[in-house]
Amino acid sequence: MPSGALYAATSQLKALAAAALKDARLEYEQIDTFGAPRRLVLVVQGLSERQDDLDMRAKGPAVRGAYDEDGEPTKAALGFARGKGVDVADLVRDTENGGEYVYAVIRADGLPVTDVLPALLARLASGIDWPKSQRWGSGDTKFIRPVRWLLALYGAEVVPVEFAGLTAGRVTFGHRFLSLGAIEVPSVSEFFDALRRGGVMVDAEMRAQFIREGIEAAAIDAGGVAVVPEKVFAEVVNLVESPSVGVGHFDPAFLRVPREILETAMESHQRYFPVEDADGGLMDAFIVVHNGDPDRTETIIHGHERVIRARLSDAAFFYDEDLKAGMESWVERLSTAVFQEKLGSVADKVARIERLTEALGTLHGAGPEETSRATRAAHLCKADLVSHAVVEFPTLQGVMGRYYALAAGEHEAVAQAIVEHYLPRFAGDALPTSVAGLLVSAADKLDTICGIFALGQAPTGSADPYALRRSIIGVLAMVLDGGLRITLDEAISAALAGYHGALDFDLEATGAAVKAFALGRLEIMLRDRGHEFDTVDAVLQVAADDPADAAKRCEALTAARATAPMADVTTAYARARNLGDAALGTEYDRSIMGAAETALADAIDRSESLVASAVASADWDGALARLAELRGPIDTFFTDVLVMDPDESLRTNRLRLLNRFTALFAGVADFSRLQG
Amino acid sequence: MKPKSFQEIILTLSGYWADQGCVVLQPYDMEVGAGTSHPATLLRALGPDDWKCAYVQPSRRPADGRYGENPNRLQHYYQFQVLLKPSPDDVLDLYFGSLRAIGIDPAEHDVRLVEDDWENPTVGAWGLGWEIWLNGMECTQFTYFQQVGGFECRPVPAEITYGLERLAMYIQGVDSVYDIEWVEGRTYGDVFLRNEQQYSAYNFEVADTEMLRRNFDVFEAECRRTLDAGLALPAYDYVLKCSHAFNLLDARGAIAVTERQGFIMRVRALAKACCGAYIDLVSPSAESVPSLPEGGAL
Repeated sequence: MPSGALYAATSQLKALAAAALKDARLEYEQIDTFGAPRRLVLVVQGLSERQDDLDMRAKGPAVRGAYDEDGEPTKAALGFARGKGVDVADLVRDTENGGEYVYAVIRADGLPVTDVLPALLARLASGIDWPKSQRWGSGDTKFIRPVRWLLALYGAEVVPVEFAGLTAGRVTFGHRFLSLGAIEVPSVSEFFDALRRGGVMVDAEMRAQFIREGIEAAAIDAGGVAVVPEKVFAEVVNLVESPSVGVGHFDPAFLRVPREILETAMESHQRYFPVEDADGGLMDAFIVVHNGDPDRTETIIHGHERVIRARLSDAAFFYDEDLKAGMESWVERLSTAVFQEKLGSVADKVARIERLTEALGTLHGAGPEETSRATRAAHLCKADLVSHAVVEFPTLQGVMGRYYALAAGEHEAVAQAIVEHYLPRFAGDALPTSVAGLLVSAADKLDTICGIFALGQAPTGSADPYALRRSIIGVLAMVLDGGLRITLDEAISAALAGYHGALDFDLEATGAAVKAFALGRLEIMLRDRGHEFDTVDAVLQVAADDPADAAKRCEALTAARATAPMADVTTAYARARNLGDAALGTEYDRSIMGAAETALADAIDRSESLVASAVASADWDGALARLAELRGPIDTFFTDVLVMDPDESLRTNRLRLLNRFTALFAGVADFSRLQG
Repeated sequence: MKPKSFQEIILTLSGYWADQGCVVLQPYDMEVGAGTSHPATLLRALGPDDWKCAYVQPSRRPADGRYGENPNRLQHYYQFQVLLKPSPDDVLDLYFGSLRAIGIDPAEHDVRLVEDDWENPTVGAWGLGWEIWLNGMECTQFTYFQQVGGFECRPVPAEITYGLERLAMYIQGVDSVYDIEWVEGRTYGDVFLRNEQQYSAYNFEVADTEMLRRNFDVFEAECRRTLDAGLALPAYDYVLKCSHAFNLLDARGAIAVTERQGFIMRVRALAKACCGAYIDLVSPSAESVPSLPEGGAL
């Protein structure tokens, strides 16, 4: 069975078994499941010998219809009892929803476990949900791979499970090559020993531990430290039934090839583990976990050394050929690589990214040197896709581009931007560290998002085949945390401009859809940062176009809302706004004001220019602090002044003053969105 | 013991599989990209009858040429192909027996089965199976066919495809395909190096793309006409001709991005139509396997 599917099946089987035993009213103490390449094992300990008995009640006719005046059972009751196979005298009465009915109590005696297990285990075998399954031979059973034998024992007794055209017995098979023929297993308690003698370590956790220790010892042997990616490790654990670990070596001359190529050749193609020296440099050694005879490790390693030599020669050949080719010829060849059927070739995409990078550079305020490096990087960013090395090792896209750019004498910043433009690859991944990297990455992602939206293929529900959500989150993460300074409207319209003339689409509607898509994600990202729903809402009402600014406003507002003065001012704001009538304007007459009104008007006069200058310098903490200072005057105003005075001129004047008060807040956030 | 020569490996495998009851065939006499395309595999995988065959098939992959300069890549190489339908219960053991026959005892090596699911959308085929690793070297592909031409395979065949050059390099301990001993005194390079140089130049630089485009159209039309006449087997030849024309155009870099999918769909439609016609031919009563409508689009 394949490695990944085997892990999933092993845990699935455990859950399925627990549910099946419960359903079958069988008690047990413990369930364990194990997986190795040729076997899936379920062990249940402390299993009860019989099913629990079961009392079931079947509802019959109402009591009124079940007995006549003399209390004798009617035909209805007799028929019901007969149908359920019970004596009419044994019917019991109970009430349900206010009515009284007769019930037949049917007792199902628990069956011996050995009667139940064959069908139960067969259902388990067919109940495993494989990611892909197949038929084989002339049969119709589907399983991950053909099923060759079944062993099922209850203690020492065979449980004759029938599945996939086979009947279970007590025979199993050990390691495919290191074990001789069929192994008879007398009883469950001897199963694991029998397999061990058959050369099989059936418990994946034991194999993992054995292999981990073996790798460490082997690395010490080689004089270094093993590089062990978890994914490769996990796969290797399920590729072997009888693990042995050995160290091989290759010609140190290969170490001139970029380390990523060597590592990828060792890991992804061969599932070898590279070895690093104390300085973190790659050594000319590799660690093999093999499935062969431990006594033959030396000859087996010798075989592996020949294979890695061929692999590394190939890799070195690709690298050398790539160095000869030159990136510019690859850029031309990108016209033969599809980006998206309707959005043209990768070369078309590159041309768009170049222009978009420049536009984003202007938005960002990048200097001429930064911009020219960014556009150069944009020009070269996809070139390595047609290099030999990346065609062979697709995961090295960008990484190889960086090496080839450096080899071609490109500026380090250009080379760095090429590898960085794929960042971030997932939520929480590293962001580009250079301005050029930020610009090209954002241009690449926005180009894809806008193109796919222009085709009318925006993500819906769980369907997001172009991973556009991940892309927009990447762009926003760069803006929020990476120092990229772009605004959405301009960035989106610059990206859509790339498709002008090439695609027939509604510019305005598509732009609006992309913006809404971006804002939807931004809202979630801001909330994920601990901002309340209404804080985010209030901020996005006034600052939606500039995500970085929105994030700063959210931070200031979240902090301010936790303080008493701000909370009070917010309450006062809500009151003022409820009373206020925007149509009245903000021009009031000081001559008819009382003390509290004058104090508020004075405070507003003082605050206005301070708030305005804080807003102008995006000092949101400062702006909010100034607003919070109005707590005293506004509270006194509401305590001392009757706003809705019967005298219309006084009333109007006071409402105008309140309008002036609420207007102060508008530059920071839409406070009317704040709740409580 | 002296390791087997290239031709001894082929002769031994042929003998081994003949002993297992296989019809030992000769290569199909047309350009194919893989042994799977031989009608003895691709068409015979369909239909209810039992079938066991083994053959060597030269495989042409024009884009893989390296002018004879890469020790591991060729635009023309050999596959040894076995098809066993229905797949026997001991099919893997039979395969390991064949390794012993050519001098590789699995008990002395590290032999692993690594997941490798096979899919060929151009002929609407897929299956599950393995890459077989011999001390880390992928030496064989092993597939339980599930569908061919969009039709279910019942019974299920097992396909075994040996990479003959790789196996020979391993057995003989040489690092370049051109150093394989074909037979005592003759290397693979003696036999094929010049071919690799010439065909690489032809495939990449010389092949007349206008002619290939015309041929593709003509072959496609002939395939349809032949299908209309109810002749699945000759029609299938024209699928192979179309495929090869496409592969050459591709190697020449003459297929525009926007055309590519269209070409593949055209070959696929033909392949599916041929598979449908073949099923009609071998199982006239099988109502459960309708042939595709003319055009075979899916």
